[in-house]
This record gives sequence, structure tokens and C-alpha cells, in this order.
Amino acid sequence: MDDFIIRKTFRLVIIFLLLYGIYIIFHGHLSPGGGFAGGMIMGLGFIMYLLVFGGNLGRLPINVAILLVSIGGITEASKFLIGKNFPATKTPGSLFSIGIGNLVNLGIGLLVAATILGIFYLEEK
Amino acid sequence: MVIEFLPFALVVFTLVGAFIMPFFARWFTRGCIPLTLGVLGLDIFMAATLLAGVMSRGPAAYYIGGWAAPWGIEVRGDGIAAIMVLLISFIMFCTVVYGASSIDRELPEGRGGWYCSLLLLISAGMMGLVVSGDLFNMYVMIEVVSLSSVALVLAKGGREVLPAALKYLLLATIGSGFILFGIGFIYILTGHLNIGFAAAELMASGGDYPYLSWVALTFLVIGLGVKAGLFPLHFWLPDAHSTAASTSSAVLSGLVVKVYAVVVMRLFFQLYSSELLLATDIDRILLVMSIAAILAGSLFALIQKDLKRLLAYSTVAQIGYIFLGISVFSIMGLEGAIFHIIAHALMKSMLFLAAGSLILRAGSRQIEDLQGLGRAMPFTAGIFSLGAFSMIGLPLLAGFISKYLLALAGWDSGNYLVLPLMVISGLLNAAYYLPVIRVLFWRGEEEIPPGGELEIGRVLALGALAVGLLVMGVIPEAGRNFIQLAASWLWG
Amino acid sequence: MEFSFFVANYPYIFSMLLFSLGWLIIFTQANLIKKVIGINIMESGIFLFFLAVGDIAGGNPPIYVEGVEQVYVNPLPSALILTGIVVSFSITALALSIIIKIYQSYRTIYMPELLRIME
Repeated sequence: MDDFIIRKTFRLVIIFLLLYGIYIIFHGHLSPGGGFAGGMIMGLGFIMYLLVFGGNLGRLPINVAILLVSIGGITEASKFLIGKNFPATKTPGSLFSIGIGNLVNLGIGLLVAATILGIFYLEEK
Repeated sequence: MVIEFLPFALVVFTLVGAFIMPFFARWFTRGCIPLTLGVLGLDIFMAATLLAGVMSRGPAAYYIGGWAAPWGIEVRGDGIAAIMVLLISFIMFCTVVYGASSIDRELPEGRGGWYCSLLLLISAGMMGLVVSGDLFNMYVMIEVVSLSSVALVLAKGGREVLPAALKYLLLATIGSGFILFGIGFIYILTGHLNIGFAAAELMASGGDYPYLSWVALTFLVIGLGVKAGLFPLHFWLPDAHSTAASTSSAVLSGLVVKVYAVVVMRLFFQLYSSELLLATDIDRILLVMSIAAILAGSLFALIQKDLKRLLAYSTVAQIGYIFLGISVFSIMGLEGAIFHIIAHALMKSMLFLAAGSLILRAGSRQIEDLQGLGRAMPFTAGIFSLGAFSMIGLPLLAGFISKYLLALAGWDSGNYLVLPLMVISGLLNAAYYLPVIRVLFWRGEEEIPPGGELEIGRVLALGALAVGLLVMGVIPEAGRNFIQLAASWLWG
Repeated sequence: MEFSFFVANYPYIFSMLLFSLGWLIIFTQANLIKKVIGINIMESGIFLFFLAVGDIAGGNPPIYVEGVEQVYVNPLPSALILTGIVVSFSITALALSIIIKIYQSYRTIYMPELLRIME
């Protein structure tokens, strides 16, 4: 969009939006949220970017979306490897205490964000 | 040790294949179909190993992540799961072999890779559905299968698939809502989601709450009936199966509607045992619905002028056969139902794939426009006639064996109506398949030049399905001990 | 069937009402987008039912505090609902995409007109 106010405000807001999404993804085991909700917030951040600055990005968003879907899907499928005695490395309550579970949460978040980006991009075109 | 890991490994492997596929579809489009064939071929190999292992050693249970039930999710590889997994991977493999040559002609440009990803996703979902031993895992897989099947209908593009796909989506969602409600009722009744534990709890204390277990059973049967296409709830089936592309129709009619019948079998005989069910008269209700399905499906098919709509209404009738086998409540009935699932999957996918070739050549789906194509494409029309004869129930083909088994099961359990019903439905099937064969071979004045049919993919796929059909018809004992073992494990 | 029975079980009754209402909306409304809203109302009824299953009277939130013995609310149905919400969101997204395509092809989103155009 060509509006000056929207562009300036957007530059401030997008950083906080994406950071908040990543915060919800990584704190999935400590507070409400997890992969799905955090992924949706990140996806909405991407959509806002497309709305404000889109138009001449060509095929870049759909390429990014496909790449994120593949990577996210494969890391999310690794949640089946979490066994009963998988070593939980650090004390419960800290950020990276569930080992492979953090990777799984990140994978789910990327998958959902890429899906929302893909749906919006294909419909808007 | 390895055998119990196999069902779970199958599902995860196919799912990972489905996730790698978009990457291939965007950047290595020529590698999509070989990747799909590789994944499905490995699936057939693993499914055959699972079947051999289960038949010699008994049902295998695997708990995901090592958490024992009831806290963990159980993956049960018993007889019906092994048979269904082998059937699913075999028919998907044949469909992809067929589609390797015809996908580019039916779907819009550039969608071939995404279509392969969708096929892998739906086969992972169906395989996960039949091996799951936990109720909520089953619900998640039901959702995966129903959303992927709506996308399979939509893949063709154009404007006539859209209302059919929307109707399918709305009705399938209502069905899922009923199934989820039923699962919630079973959770209230028993406090467990694992099928084995919930069954034990239902036997122990289910008699104290007769109304609640009855309501749970009703919701589950209605939800699964909507999705499987049982007679009064089948209204999405003709539109969706006739407007889809022919490979989609083959998968939808051949596999997707059967998987929900397998879920009904598991819920009836492993969760509720047959004593609890006989007290609720559900067998009579299902019997009436199946007889209505068989007769109504065939009667509607008589008046159709569109070839794929005729095949879709024929599917409605055949689902009636499967539920007839379930509703007589005996081991022989279960045997007949499982045999008919296998036989109809082979027959109907063969019919839809052959019909797809004929329709591509003729350019229209109306039966009148197929005149004389039988002389121009003798191999394809011959395979179509073989499938039609098997549906009618001629001996030496698989359709006869399944009608025979169902009639025997009905006679043994005291429903003497089943035998004349099989004869009447065979005659009705003949009444709508034989005119199509007549139009193909004996009508048509101008000579259509032969050709356009002998591509290697189509010949291999149709030939493999026909060989499977003949094997099951001529030497049914080859499969019958597997099916008998599976039915007895379901029953007991 | 005295009155206190209904008062004690009010979440179940409301969830049944929402479920039936959603199901009726899907069947009777002519506008396609209203049918999708009906799907959401039906699924909300189911989620309310699951939440009511888990609730124990006098229970505390299921967060483990060291050394204190308390009666916790059952957290399992809440986990089931999380998956259900994601499924419901996907179905709504797919249904709305199909309706956009129907509007682009047929220029209407009312069922009777759609059936008339398709004849």
C-alpha cells in the first residue's frame, strides 16, 4: 500500500508480531500455545507483510511456503521418535528442557505458518 | 520384534513421503511419479511382510513411544489391519501406474506433482486408520482421509466439481461431528480411549447405562454411515464420484468408502461385543438399511445415462452388500463382508480406470457417445466387460464368490431373505451393465480407428487388477484362510 | 426429571442445543456462507461437550504444585479439543476457498440459484 502511516507503523509492528509468534512456539510446554497457535500468529505476520509490501514479489512467497512446508513436515514427523526414556536434558521449567520436542514444536509452527501464507497467496493472486 | 513395528513404520514412512513431495513438485517435477511409485512399492513389500508375520504369529500390538496403554497410543496389527494395508497399497500402486500416462490429460497444467502428494497423504491416512487401536487416533485419521478425499474430488478443476465437492465437504463434516460426539459418549461411559480397555469396561459396567451406550452407538453408526455412503445417507456420493477425475474416482470408490466400513466392524465387534449389540436391535436396523441400499442403488443406476454416475450408484449398492455382511452378526457374515471389500475394491477401481480411458477417447461421459468404442479399443473394453461380469456375479470371478459367501452367511443365521436378495440384485446388476457392453461392442455405424489405448502404464495397471480379480475368483482358497483368521480375531 | 437435574447438567444441554442448531443451519439456510457458519456452531457445541466431560466439581486447574494434594480437573478432554479446533479450522478454510471458486464460476452463492444454473 502507498500510505505513509501504514508503512511506518508496519515496520515497528512486524518485528514484535514475529517475535511474539516465536515466543509462543518455543514456550509451548510451559504455557498455553504450542505449535499451532504460534504458527498461526507467525502466518498472520507473513500475511500482513504481503498485504502491505506485496505486489511485486513474484513467486517468492510460494517458494518460501513450499520449502517451509517440507522442512516443517519432516521435523514434525520426528515426534514419533520421542520414546519413554528419551533423556530430558535440563530441569523441568526451563526453555529447552524437552530435547527433540522443541524441534517438533518449531516444525509444527513453520508448517502452520507456511499453510496460512500459501492459502492467502493463492487466493489473492 | 520387527513385525509389530511395521504398521507404524508404514504410516510414518508414507507420511514423510507425502511431505517431501511438494519440494519435488515445485523443483523436480519429473521425479514426482517415480518417488510415489517407490514409496508405494516399499509399502506393498512391508504390507506383505506384515501379513505373513501376523498370520503365523498372531496379532501384534505396538505402543508408540514405549508408553503402555492406557496412557499411550496403541497400534494394533491384527488380521483385518494387515489385509486392508496390503489392499490399500496394492490398489494405490496400480492407480499411480495407470495415472502416470493419463494424469496430464485430465488434470489442469502443472498439477501432477501435487496430485501425487495428495495420493500419498490419503494412503497414509487410510493405513493409519485401519491399524489404529485408539479411538481418538482413529478420529484424527478419519479427518485426514475425509479432507484429502474432498481435495481429490477438487483436483480436476473446472466448474462442475465445485458444488459436488462442497456438498461432500459439508456432509462429511456433519458425519465427523457425529463420530466425535460418539467418541465423547464412549469416553464418558468408560473413561478410556483405548479400544481394548474400553471394551473391558463396557462389558463390566455397560449394562448399568443402557440408554447412554445406545445413544453412543447411534451417533457412531450415523456418522460412519454418512461417510461410508450407506443408503439414506448417501446423497453426496453420486455427484462427488462422477465429477472427479477417473483416478480419483477409482481411489474414492474403491478404498475410501470401505475404510469406514472397516471402522464400523472394529467398533461393533471389538469395542461393543455382539451380546451387547443384540440387545439393542441394531442388527435389524442395519439389515433393513442394507437391503434398501442394495435395491435402491441398483434401481437408481438403471436410469442413468452418464457412465460414471452409473458406476457411482453401483458403489452405493455394493456398500449395501458389505453392511449386509456386518449386520447378520456371524463369523461367516464377517468373512463375506471382508471378501467383498477386497473383491469390490479390485472390481470398482478396474471399472473406473477402464471407463476413464473410454471417456478420454470419446470426449464425453454419456453412454450414448461411447458407441462402437469396444471395437476400437478392444483391450480396455474387454477389461471393462470383465469387471462388469464380476459385478453381475458370473462364476469363475470374484463377485460370484462374495455373493455366495454372503448368501451362505444369511442362510446359516436364519435370515432366509438373503439368498433371493442376492439373486435379484445379480439380475439388477445385469440389467444396467449389459446395455453398456452392448453399446460398446455392437452399436455404432461409423468405424472409429483403433489406437490410443495401448500405453504401458494403462496396460500394466489394468492387467494387474484383472489378474488379481481372476485369482480371487478361480482359487478363492488362496485368500480364504487369511480372511477366516481375520474374521475370527475380529469376532472373538 | 426434576428441575435440579437440568440445573446440574446445564453444559450438556447447551452443547446438545448448539449441536442441533448448527446441524439445522447447515440444512435449511440457502446462503452458502451461512452453512459454513453452521459448521462452526456445530463444532463449538461438540467442544463444549468435551469440556463439560472433563470438569469435576470443586477441581483445581491441572498444574502440579509440589507437595499439595488436590483434586485436579481432567486435562485429557482439553487435549482432544486442541486437535478438534485445528481440524475445524482446516475444514472452514477449505470450505471458504471452495465458495470463493463457486462465486468466480457461477456468480452466485445462493443454493437455489446454483441448482437452477446447473440444470
